[in-house]
Amino acid sequence: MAISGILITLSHDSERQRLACERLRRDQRLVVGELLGRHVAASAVTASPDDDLALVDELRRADGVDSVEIVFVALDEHSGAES
Amino acid sequence: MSTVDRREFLKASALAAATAAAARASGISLPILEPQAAPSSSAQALRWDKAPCRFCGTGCHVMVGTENGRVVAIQGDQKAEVNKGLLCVKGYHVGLALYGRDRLTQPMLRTQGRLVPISWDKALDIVADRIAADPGRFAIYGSGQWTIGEGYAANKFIKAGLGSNLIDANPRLCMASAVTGFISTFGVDEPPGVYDDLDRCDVAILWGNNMAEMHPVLFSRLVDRRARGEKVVIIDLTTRRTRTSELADQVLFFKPQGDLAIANGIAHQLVKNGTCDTAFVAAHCNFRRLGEPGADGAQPDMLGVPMTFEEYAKALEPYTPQRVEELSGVPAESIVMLGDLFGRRDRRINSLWCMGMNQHTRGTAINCLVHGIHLLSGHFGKPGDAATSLTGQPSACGTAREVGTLCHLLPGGLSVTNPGHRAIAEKHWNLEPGRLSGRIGLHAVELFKRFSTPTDQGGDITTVWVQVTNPAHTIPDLNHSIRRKAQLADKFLIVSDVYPTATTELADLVLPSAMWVEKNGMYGNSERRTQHWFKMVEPPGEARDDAWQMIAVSRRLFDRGVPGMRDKDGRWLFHTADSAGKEIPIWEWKRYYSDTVVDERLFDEYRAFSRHKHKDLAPYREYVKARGLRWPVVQNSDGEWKETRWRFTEGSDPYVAKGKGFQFYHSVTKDDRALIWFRPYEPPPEVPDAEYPFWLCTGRVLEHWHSGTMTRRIPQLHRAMPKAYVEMNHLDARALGVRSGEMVTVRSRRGEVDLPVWLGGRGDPRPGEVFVPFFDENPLINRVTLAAYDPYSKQPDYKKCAVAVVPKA
Repeated sequence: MAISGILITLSHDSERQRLACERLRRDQRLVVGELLGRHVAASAVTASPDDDLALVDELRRADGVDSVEIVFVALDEHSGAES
Repeated sequence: MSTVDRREFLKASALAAATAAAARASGISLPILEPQAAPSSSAQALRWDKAPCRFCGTGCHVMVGTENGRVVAIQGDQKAEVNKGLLCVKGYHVGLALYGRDRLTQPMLRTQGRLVPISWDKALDIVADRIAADPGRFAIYGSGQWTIGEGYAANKFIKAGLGSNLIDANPRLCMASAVTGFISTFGVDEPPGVYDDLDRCDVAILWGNNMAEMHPVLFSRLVDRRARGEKVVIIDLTTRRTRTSELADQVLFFKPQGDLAIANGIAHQLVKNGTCDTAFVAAHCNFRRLGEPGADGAQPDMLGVPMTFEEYAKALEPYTPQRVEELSGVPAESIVMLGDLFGRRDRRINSLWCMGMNQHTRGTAINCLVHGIHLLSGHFGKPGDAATSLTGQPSACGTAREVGTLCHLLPGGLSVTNPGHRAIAEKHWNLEPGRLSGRIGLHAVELFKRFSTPTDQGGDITTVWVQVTNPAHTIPDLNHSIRRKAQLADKFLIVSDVYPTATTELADLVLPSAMWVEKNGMYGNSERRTQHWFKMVEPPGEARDDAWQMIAVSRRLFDRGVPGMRDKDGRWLFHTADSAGKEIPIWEWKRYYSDTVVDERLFDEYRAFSRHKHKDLAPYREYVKARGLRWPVVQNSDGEWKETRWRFTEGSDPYVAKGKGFQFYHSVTKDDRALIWFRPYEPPPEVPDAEYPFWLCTGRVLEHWHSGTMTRRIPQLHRAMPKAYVEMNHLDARALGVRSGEMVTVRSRRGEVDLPVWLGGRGDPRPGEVFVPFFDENPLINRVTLAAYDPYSKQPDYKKCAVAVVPKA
């Protein structure tokens, strides 16, 4: 289980912004906060750190999304790895 | 707290952190909330404490969530002025650096070729035996990742305790040319400006600086201004296209070493166009050039010789835009553009650099030249107008430069060669006059050369104690340096570290260290900001603080009667007493944290040194309260401790006299003036030829920090960037007949490594140039690099040497 906090910056285009917001709110992996300017906050819960990174990549590629930044990472269910 | 409750709590914390970031990005003012503690009903509640990030020199603050003795969450610290709640990908995962499965947890002695666990008692005795047997052949090699207390303890141990200056630290490899640049120009080290300049400049000029990957939070601070509708122009002066280039308004490619010509070209334009700030220059600057070499060919000294403005202008005459284009590859019209830009008073210009200018055989010269064009044009000392060196390590400034853990320094910027400075240190350390050595020790490259040379062939360093760094990975030309140690039976290598590394591979004795929030600590970042944190979790197994290791060895030497380990009153150098005057045995690990705050004691002792060069530090407890304070920190009449933003500027710097405007109070010329240097273009020591036709540049990547010993143990970072590669231009790849992913040998006159080719990847070198990141311990690119260094800073040049690239069959 991986939990992260994500800052999503949406397109300047209001229609693309609205559609992107709707898609984000339908995504079962996310709890999405209110739209602030063109920024929206979300917490993400996924099965593993890899899935978390895959979700961030997916969001970055999504239409209407300009950028995605991780701003919170819960580490306790991650494990370190030998080099 | 149940697992489900806990997850809900962490989800809520995550959303709260993201909401705060969204509000900030939108310019909406929300109250800054402390990260939430877990519900109080939980016996083992989640607790949040502040700490600076463990990685680069930016000095971002993180909030560290701990629970059940373990770091469980990280978020950006919204109260921190440096990063305003943001972190980079390394910062968010910094907590995982503690939990690699192969943490070193016991001292180990090499016995019949294998590292075998031993007790701390035995390990400390072995170290003390090696030192006592031949203290003059013992050296310490430390780090810009040492905390201030750790560096101070090591510095005092060797300089006061052993009476030698055989200590150097890895900032020699990353920062030394910035130091000599600041000292040559202002007479004292460290930047006049601060990060606030990023918020206020109209133009940011990046001198060979891939800020988007190396200092991503600071780069975001700059780029995010555009999102707020502000105009900020970014000019990327670079030898290869990087992620920084993608966001730059102008990308100007230059040939390796061409930066010297560009800076002189800008100065020439200012003089030719009459756009120098003549009032500022007349009031606050002198001109200098190097003297002539000595009869034996020795380098002229750093003090230089005076020159008039007319002589300076004459010296610049060859640097016409056309000539600069020939030397640098930057089009003449771009040189004119840069000259015109610096000539404008209505623009605020912030120059920024890091390793590109510092890892340079003329690193001191290019640092001086960039300061020079800022002074010449008056782009100095006003918010947004600054020449700013960014550091690579979290406490390269705080520990190496300020504490003076280098072979020529004493704490507080004092010099070992200055008898007056030695007397000051002897007074602070309560030593007999004349105890400290005035002989400069060995800089990093020379130290490991001597250590790797047989004793009977002049290799007069026989024991080295390495703490918090990985020289068998990062010293240039490894095959002819420390990696030869394996063949030298009489040399003894002691390594204190947290994970197995390329250096522990060669070690005779390995000491397990505590890291980051497993101990108390303080760092000093790139903008003179001293930062503090308290220990939050226990180190694993028998891992212990580096400062304790040094102190415990010192006590053993004291008990054996080694005279240097006592002060002039016969007391142990690290004597610590309780309020009743009873000695606290801090050399015993179980007492190190239980009876006193050793870190506070070390810092407050060190603090006395900081006043001599106007680098005043506040008492330890002030840093406990703050998200760092930028020195000089002075106490106002109302008792408040006040930090300084712009040094040497009236109204900001408390040491500038009223009415002066600007005052360079440590001026080399003792007249409150800064120096504008003329330094000519000079070619690099090795250039491509028919046999080795490519330039090799080495550097870092976003995901990995330096030699990767921590970040490669963080799964998210390791998977994102699992191994090194060689970036090359597609035209060169086509000529060689290689494609992305295919293996090639990168070979120099010194060594070779095999690497996969990466085309059109994150960076894109110019034809004739290749780039290899250095984080990967297999292969070690420093088997290939060149050990040539700047004659003043002694900093090696990792950015340019000649290599061949040969496809593997």
